[in-house]
Amino acid sequence: MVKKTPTSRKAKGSGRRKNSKSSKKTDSWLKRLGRWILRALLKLTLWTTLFATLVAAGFGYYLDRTITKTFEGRRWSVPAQVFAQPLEIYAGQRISKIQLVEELERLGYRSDVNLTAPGSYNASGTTLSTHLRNFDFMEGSRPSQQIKVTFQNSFISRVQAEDKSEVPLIRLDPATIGSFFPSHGEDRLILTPEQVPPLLAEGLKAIEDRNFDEHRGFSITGILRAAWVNLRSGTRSQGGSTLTQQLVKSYFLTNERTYTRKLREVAMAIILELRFSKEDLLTAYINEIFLGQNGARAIHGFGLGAQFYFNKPINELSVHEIATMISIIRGPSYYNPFRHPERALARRNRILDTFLVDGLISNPKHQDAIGSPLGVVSSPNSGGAYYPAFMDIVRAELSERYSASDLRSQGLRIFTTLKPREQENAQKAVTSTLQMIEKERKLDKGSLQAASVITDTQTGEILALIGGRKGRVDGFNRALNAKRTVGSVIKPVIVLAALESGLDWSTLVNDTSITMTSDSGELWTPRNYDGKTRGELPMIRALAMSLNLAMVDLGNTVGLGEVQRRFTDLIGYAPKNRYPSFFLGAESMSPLQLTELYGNFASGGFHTTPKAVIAVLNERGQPLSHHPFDLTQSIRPETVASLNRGLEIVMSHGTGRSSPFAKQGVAGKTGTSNDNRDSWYAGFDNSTLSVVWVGRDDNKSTGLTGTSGALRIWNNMQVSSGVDPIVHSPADNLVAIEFATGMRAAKSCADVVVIPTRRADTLPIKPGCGIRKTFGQRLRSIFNN
Amino acid sequence: MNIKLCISLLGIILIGGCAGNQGPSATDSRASSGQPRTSDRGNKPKVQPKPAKITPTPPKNSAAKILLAQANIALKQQGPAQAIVLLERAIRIDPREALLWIRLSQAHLEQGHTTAASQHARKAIALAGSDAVKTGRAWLQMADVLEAQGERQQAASLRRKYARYAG
Repeated sequence: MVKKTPTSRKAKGSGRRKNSKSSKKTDSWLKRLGRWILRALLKLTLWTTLFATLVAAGFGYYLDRTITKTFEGRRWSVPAQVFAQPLEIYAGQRISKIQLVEELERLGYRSDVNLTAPGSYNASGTTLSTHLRNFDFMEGSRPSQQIKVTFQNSFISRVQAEDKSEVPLIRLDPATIGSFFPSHGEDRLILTPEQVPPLLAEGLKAIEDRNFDEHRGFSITGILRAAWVNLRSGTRSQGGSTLTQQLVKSYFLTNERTYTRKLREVAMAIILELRFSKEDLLTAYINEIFLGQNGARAIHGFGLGAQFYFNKPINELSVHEIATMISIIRGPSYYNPFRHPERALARRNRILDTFLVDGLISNPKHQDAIGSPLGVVSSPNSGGAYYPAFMDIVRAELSERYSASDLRSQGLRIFTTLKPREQENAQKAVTSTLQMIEKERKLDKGSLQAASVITDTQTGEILALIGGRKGRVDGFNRALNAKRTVGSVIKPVIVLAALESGLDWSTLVNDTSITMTSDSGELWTPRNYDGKTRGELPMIRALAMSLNLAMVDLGNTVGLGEVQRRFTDLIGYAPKNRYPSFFLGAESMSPLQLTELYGNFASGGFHTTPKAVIAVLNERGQPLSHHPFDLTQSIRPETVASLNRGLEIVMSHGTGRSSPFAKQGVAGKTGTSNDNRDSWYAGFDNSTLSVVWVGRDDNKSTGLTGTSGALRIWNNMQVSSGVDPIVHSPADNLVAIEFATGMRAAKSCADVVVIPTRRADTLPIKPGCGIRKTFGQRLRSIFNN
Repeated sequence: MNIKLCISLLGIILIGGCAGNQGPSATDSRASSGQPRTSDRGNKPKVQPKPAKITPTPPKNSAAKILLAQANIALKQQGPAQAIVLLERAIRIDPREALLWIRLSQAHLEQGHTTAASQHARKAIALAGSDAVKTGRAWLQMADVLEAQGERQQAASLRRKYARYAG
């Protein structure tokens, strides 16, 4: 019997212990390893979590800062709005009822017998009633009100308020003619929450995001539904985006369709929802969403969308128009109502059905809306008044005082001198005349280009500016930037210098061949347009018939230096051409520069830089800058009066005589450059100065003279606007002379023009023309004999 | 020879006669300048009633007329800046009305813009044409501008010349 001794037990135990020790050792090692791994894992998890939390927090902080900053910046980044001159309405104003209707329709006013809302009119018989919209003018606000205008022939005879009281003077609201949107092309009219029609807000939610008021930026069900559709179709066509996500996408992300981008979109949407109210987000969406493209200009937001598609402010949209706008969101190109009216109409009607089902509109309203046509304007370019060429000069003028960023974001309100009626009329004349000329002369369609500037003769304000034959397309602005050889339109400067040096219209000049040597030794032999020479003739005939040789002779008499000094005085810069070919207009100028030159004549001797801006107001309507009339007397009144009479004779007896308005009291000068590359006309009546250029962009010959090109455009401009004849101040030195010879003649004689001259007594008398010699002349002839 | 001499003498007499009829006489000038006349014979000077103020014809255009009236009020109550806005609006409607340019010159002068005031006065003179009253008013406005520019003598001379047209 083996006694279990403690030792043995011990031994046993020891053995066991040994065993257990070794197993324990293994165990503990394993455990330790396990524990270590566990601890390591724990630590790793902790650190990873900590790190991930830090990264997430950092990213969240970054996103939050970025989103908040961008959102706030974008939300209040309001492009400057630019307004045309408003039409003044008063008894005595020369405007027909039809013309006033056109003006109102250009502003988006609709015919409505009851004048139920602002922006409506009713024309009946000899009266026109209109419910004017309210507008904040420079001098203050003009509330919405109804007026009744009575016409007599083509004049307003009476203006009355709703209570029958007389309204002595009132203005229509001015047309919005553009805005300064950023270089990436996004244009918009910002709406405040109060300006958003309730149906638009509710309709958007009903169509685009039914749970907008409940969710926190994203919708799980929406995402799952989109994922399921995508899985089944094998595409990534559906996004399941809420309005907030769409806003995020538009503000911060690209159109890339990946799950990573989707996650970012959701994260950003959550942040936006945490930071801003639902109302803020919905308004931002309404101002942000892309609704179409018009050339380089991207139409963003419902404010501008309403102008672009319907030519009316958002608050005047009807039910079916709101539905059309909402239908465009899903695919501005696919549902483009101009290009795909059937698609747009079908979707609009589905949206109207949803409005009805959701109780947003009543059954009769639904019926009425369903039965309405799309109602969009006739083409993308006819929605509202958009004149990019004029906007160029506004931009140029403002660049001296305002930075580009101010213009794009500060919500400035810019009042300009543009008269939309003049602008539309001039543009139509340019386009139709060029088409006509191309057809008649069998020129390539679209090969001719043109530009024009029209200003007020007395103030120098630009009333219309045409940059090319396509008016509403951004592009090369020829009126400002095309510097082309001016040809004979420069000649009145020589005559002015001649008149100021003591010569007058009866002074004889030599229309004979001449060869001159320039300072560089080059020979120059000018020729008349027809290659003929005419010998001695009066200065008036030289100018009126635009005879090159006679004008060079006159220029030489006065002196090139003197002529160029006068040119510099009149326009503020020295000519580049320092040779006698300057006499014949070998000098490049833009139509705008030529307008500035002729402004001196048309204004009665005052220099004005043509200007386009009247005033700039900040977004609260406070004036920031006023651009007053700025003129400087540049020619003595009697000299400019004499010059202008000569320019009238150019029209009545000279190169302008083919114009149907030639004898109606207009003054002007045609010009043609070498090889008929450029055709010019510069002329004026009592109220407007017009400069027209016709040529080709590649500077090749057009085959046109000033008369057959530019003057024809001017003629067509006058057909609808009419001529306001020049009014002369009484002058006591007017004398009738024979146009061809410069001899004194009775007014009843053939080919006679009346000119101012101080040399009446010394002029030879046309024999057999009913003029009796004055006592002085007889006396002189006795002494001479 | 004798015939030539006679004709020459006759001519001189005729020319002299014509020259004598040119322009108002000194007496006329004094009468029209509004200066009081004294009787040549009586001891007590007879004070003539002041000549009636010569007022220029208001603008024919009703809108311009209203705006001119508003600008006059603005000049007194709101200051020249508001008046300039109104007057420029009026000029856009009726750009050849000298009275508007005179008042515009006045508004600019009140703002201390003497260059603009001077040019607008010149414009008014050019547009006034044969209307003697408006021409006179325009020159008187120019006198105010000249005085503000320190040209007191010229200003005084113009005021004397056109005193009868003073408002």
